[in-house]
Amino acid sequence: MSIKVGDYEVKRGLLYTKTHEWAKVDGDEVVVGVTDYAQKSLHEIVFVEVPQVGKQVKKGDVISAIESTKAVSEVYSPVDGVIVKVNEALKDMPELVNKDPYGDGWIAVIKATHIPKEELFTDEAYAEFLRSEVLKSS
Amino acid sequence: MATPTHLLKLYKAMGAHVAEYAGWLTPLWFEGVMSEHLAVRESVGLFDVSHMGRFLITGDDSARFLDYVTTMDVLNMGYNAARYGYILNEKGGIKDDVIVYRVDKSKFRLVCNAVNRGKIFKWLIERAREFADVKVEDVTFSSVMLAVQGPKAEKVLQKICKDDLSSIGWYKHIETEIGEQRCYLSRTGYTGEDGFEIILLKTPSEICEAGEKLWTAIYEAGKEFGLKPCGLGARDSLRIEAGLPLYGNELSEDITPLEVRGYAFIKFEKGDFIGKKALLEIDRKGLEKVRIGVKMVEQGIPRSGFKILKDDVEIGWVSSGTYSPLIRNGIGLGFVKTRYAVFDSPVFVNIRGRNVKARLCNWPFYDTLKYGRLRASK
Repeated sequence: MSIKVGDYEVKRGLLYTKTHEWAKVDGDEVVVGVTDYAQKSLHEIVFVEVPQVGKQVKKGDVISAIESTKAVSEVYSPVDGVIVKVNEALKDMPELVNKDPYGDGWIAVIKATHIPKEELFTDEAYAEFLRSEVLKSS
Repeated sequence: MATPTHLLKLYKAMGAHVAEYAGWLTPLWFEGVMSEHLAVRESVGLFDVSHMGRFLITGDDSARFLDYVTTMDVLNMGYNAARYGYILNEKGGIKDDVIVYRVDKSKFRLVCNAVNRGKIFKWLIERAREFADVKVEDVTFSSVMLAVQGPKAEKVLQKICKDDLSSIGWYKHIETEIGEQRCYLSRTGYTGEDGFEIILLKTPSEICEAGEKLWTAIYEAGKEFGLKPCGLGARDSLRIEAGLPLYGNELSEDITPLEVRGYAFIKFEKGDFIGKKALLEIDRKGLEKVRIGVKMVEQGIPRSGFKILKDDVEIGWVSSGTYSPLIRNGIGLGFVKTRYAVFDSPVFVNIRGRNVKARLCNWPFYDTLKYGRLRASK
């Protein structure tokens, strides 16, 4: 159920951003997380700043910060909407993002007012983006 | 273009994650910062620190010269002694922190930070002109420097070294054979743990092969003790836990050793040295800011540049921070206005716009009965 690009998995059926977030759209509810590439680049995640429920966000707003021992990476909202649910488990188990980035490592659920699909990658397009731009330059 | 560290091929073959630091391509981690960090606290780790600058200083005036350009008492150093101290500018600001090794009457080695190698080499050459007989030679590119750190470091190296390592005290050094190669070995380090640093000096054409041989000999000898190869990531988190300063973060040309709380490494009683007059003047006036440790009370990781606040007043900044793999908490080093520098006092660290609870503290951050060079049991 996923596309392999080098060492990285791209899960099928999700939408993706250039900044390596994924979005799982179910009606107007959008589950958001970071990709396998993002978690592998950060490596050992030791802290996830979980967003506030009720926060109004626009596409590109910072909704969370993920910290590894050495670096901080911000997580950007892929859609416009309101955060309605956050993954409380990450407060005690930030490593879930490493272990299961597309599953138990989800970050937030956003009730979307606008999903700018034309600005997001499909699974195939994100895989191609990783292959042709990200991995080529690293 | 970054210079690959001499042993880069070996590290890449092992799957190390390589990054650029101070113009060098060197491992950031092999297996991961957390496990490498804990290996050093609990048993032993092997670091490549060849990016550090290495100079040979020779000549009849070399002792007087080093006594003048550093804060340490070089004239009274024994022939197997090493000392830590500072090279200062005329204003008392830190040009670099260095270790000087005395070999004999007129021969020394000096190890400086990678980021400062060019600057310090130039400075030493310029200041050496004031002395009749001093020669400064940069041997960084014809040598490899490895660090074996942790409570089991002595046991690992003893297996491949004929000299009795238990007789080498802290900050002492010898010339010896390790894995059948002549090396300089000192009981020094940058982790808070017991350990050794080894310099292997060859010609530029020999150094890669000889370095690989040395590294492999230590790696094999360490296997039974759970030795892990370690990268710069663990080196940084270990030194922060131990409270050891890093040039560019805690040390700079605008910071004096007094503010860093490095009084122990300044020998005011000796003769004149560069920066002495300025330091005495600053010491007389009192310090505006001073280095402290900061430990998070609420979740979060302090990072370099974050503000430290008392209630809503800005009192200082974080200069280095990390997640401590040992105490599993955000920790940092920083500077605060002197009158606020009280251990255990509650403060806030502003993390991305949010004031997060923390406390000022002393270092090291680990329990010194259980960890560190002076731990109760080994």
